[in-house]
Amino acid sequence: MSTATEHSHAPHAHDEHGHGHGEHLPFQAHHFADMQQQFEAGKLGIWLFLAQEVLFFAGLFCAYAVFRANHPEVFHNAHYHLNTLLGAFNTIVLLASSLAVAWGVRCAQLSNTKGIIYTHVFTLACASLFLGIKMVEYTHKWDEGIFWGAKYAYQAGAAPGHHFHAWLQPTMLVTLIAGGLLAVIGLAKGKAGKPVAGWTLGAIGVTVAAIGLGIIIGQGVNAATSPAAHGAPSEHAASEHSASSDHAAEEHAAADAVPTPDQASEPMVDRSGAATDSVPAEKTAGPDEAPAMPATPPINVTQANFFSIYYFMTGIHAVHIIAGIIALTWIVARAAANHFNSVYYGPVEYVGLYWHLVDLVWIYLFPLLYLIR
Amino acid sequence: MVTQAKEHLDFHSLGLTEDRRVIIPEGKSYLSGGGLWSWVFTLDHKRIGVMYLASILTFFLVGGIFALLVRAELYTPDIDLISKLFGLDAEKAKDKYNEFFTLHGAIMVFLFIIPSIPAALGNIILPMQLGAKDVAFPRMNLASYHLYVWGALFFIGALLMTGLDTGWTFYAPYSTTTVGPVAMATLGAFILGFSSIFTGLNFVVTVNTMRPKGMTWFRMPLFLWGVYATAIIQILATPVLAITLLLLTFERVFGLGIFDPKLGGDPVLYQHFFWFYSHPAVYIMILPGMAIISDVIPTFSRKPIFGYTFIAYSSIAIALLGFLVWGHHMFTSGQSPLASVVFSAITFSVSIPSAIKVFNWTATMYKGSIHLNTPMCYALSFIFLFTIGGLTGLFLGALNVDVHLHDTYFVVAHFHYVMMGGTLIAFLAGLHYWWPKIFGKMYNETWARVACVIIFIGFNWTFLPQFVLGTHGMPRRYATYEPQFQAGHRLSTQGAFFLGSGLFLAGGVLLHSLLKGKKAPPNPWGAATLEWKCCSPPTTQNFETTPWVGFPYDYSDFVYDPNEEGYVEVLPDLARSAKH
Repeated sequence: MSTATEHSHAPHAHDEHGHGHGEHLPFQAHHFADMQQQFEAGKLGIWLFLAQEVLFFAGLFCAYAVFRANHPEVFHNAHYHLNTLLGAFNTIVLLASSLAVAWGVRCAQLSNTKGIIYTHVFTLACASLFLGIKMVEYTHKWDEGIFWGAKYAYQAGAAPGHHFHAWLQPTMLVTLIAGGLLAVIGLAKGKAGKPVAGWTLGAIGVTVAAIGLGIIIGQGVNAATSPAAHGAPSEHAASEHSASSDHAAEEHAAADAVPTPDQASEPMVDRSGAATDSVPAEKTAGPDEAPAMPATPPINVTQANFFSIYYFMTGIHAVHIIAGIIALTWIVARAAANHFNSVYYGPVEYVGLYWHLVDLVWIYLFPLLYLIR
Repeated sequence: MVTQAKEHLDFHSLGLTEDRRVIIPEGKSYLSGGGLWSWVFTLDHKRIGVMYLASILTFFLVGGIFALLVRAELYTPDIDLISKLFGLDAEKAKDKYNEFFTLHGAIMVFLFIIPSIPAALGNIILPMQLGAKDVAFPRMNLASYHLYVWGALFFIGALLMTGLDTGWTFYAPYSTTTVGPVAMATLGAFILGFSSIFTGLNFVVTVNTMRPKGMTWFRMPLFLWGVYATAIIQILATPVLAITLLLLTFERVFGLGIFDPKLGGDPVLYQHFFWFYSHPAVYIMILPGMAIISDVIPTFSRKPIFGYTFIAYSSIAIALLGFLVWGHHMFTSGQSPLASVVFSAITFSVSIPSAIKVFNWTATMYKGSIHLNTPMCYALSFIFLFTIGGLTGLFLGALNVDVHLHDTYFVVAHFHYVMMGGTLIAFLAGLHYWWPKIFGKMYNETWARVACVIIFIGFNWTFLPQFVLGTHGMPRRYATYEPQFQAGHRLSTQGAFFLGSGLFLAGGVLLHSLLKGKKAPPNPWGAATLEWKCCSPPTTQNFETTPWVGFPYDYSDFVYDPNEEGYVEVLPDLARSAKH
């Protein structure tokens, strides 16, 4: 990842390298002719890495498109389970963090070390807020039995089958206390003249504490919007589309997530329509008849499939946020060590670009998952 | 690196003698010095390349042993060898057979062919052809190798746990329901994917930003063009495989339901995803092979490559078209007929850039002074075998013919002609070509050539009968078969063991050279690319004096020196010729 795009401590940096080119700057790798070449190599590298990331997510967006195109009603019904307000809040959080990161890059170009640190700590806080809110969203859905694929067990109106949200309160307390403690230690270290340890611990503290803050905000928004944004449309959806996928989902749940043979053959959301009839016909087709294309078996797409895609996409995105948190913390530590200035600021820009991509993926995920109606 | 026009040569700083011979100073070999640790955590692209080379050859051996087991089992129509060898009843032995061809395929594809030319030879040669000290991101390069080792460990784990019987394609829903260690193998392939992405990313950045002054895009050696095109595919196709295998792993472990029809998933979507990577992956395998041939043929014909720009562009064309043909693996999957027609048409169009290359290689040899050294022997085999492999691909790209030939030995023979007859032979050509540079030792030319001939004969002996078997309807992946296929299978098995003996001979010759080989001169073949303008083996920094960059296929300045048993570069006296 971005950490590998820079190699200031190459071991043979002091070998017999000087074939004509001048003094090597502190962070110039031995095999580059000058800082400009090094910066351009790093920048192309991170752009290619981002291209790779886009293709990585493209597979998921493609799966989304296929399932949604074939079963629009499933997606329409299922998305009522998502809390749009929380999604919107997270979108704003990530947009703000992207602004901060871009600002941080500008600070680096102007050799403003304090600016790099402040903007990146703010970005870290946003990243954790996002994760805290996502935790609230996930746990509340799990409590209702809204899992993915085979684990999906949602029943409209049923009492919560799990109590994952009971973990939110202790998590919030632990993160707030631990984060606060780390931040205080960091502050003390900073005062004691150890800026690198101080800012690193401080950044980690803010990151941890922001998870707790995210949980508080998420819980609050969830409680405020629950009956309006969540419950009512769900019922509305159930009444309007009970014939199709919600019905299937309930049956699915009733069968303890293992479809019985007769259930599987029931053409509830049968994509191939009359194709089931053509199965025996195909088997008896003579050699001189046109070979019938093998019939597509009936595939029953339910809300479980929407949530498979939802959890996988948002989950992979969350993994990228966590990777981003590590990279951003690394930038804070290096900025505190005074590594960056207008001559050498490549890593700040590379991590910033990565963070923009993480933001951008969410910009697509939010409308595709939350704003289907 | 600084390039100087030939007119402004500073004789002393460039180490020229009075008779304008370029002297290449000797230096401390990159191979010498340092303990185990200095290898495992080296940032030197050549050491990383050598580690890759050792690893992939080990896995080639493992995959080859599985291939020979499969072939030995197929000597007779019944399942007898495996059941006797492992003391299993017929059904269990058939399961074992499924494991063997799965491991053969998966190991050969993921652990041998894909990293063979780019990661092993490319890593060593690419920076040197650029006159650079290293790739752009040496630490990422090392990470790529370490990821390769981790991925390989997962595969070994799956091998030891036994029961992986999905075929190398891991088709859902079988792969999500079978009992074998599928998750382990797919996670291994996932990790190997990132190893491949890192290598590709490194190469693109290195070629883009570290070309020396004077080496414009169209003055690059064609090996770089081929590896560059490969790297583009590695970066853009591999992540799709990564996400597919991740989805498959989650499907298997957590019951995700994207591919499993029982859970509402779509198994054909898996095939689309898989081939979106795995068809371009075929070009990850063959493009660097073609790249090696494009460097070897002009060197041993002592003649500039014919149609340089066409070969360069055809690599890029193959890379781009390669992304648009994946559906030809799925003609019988029930995809829409229109899609099949489009995929078939684009598949045919891939033959255009491929044929351009073959014609240009042939035209390069025309009226050349052909030296039949071992690399050239392999290059000639490559042209012959790749042409057969490529042309039989057109049979399979034709919609109606494919329905008949789908999943038969015709397909097996076809892709072995391309992957083994193409990539492996090109890899061997490259290995013999660069061996003196990499290890600084000359091998026994006679025995290496004998090995090449055995491999060529053994290869055709093994796989030509399979075309016939396939057209007669022998399905692939079966442990037993009808007696009428036995003649073909016998021939194929005999050929396989002959081929195997040739490969062992080639390996023996190369190993022997490491111990007893003569010291290699800097430029044994008289090639004009930059990697030959440093000592053999190179120093850690590659170049002790800055090489100057000429057209990579201009051999007029290279003169054979019997004292050195290699070629030396004699610069033309342009100052004098300008006066005339």
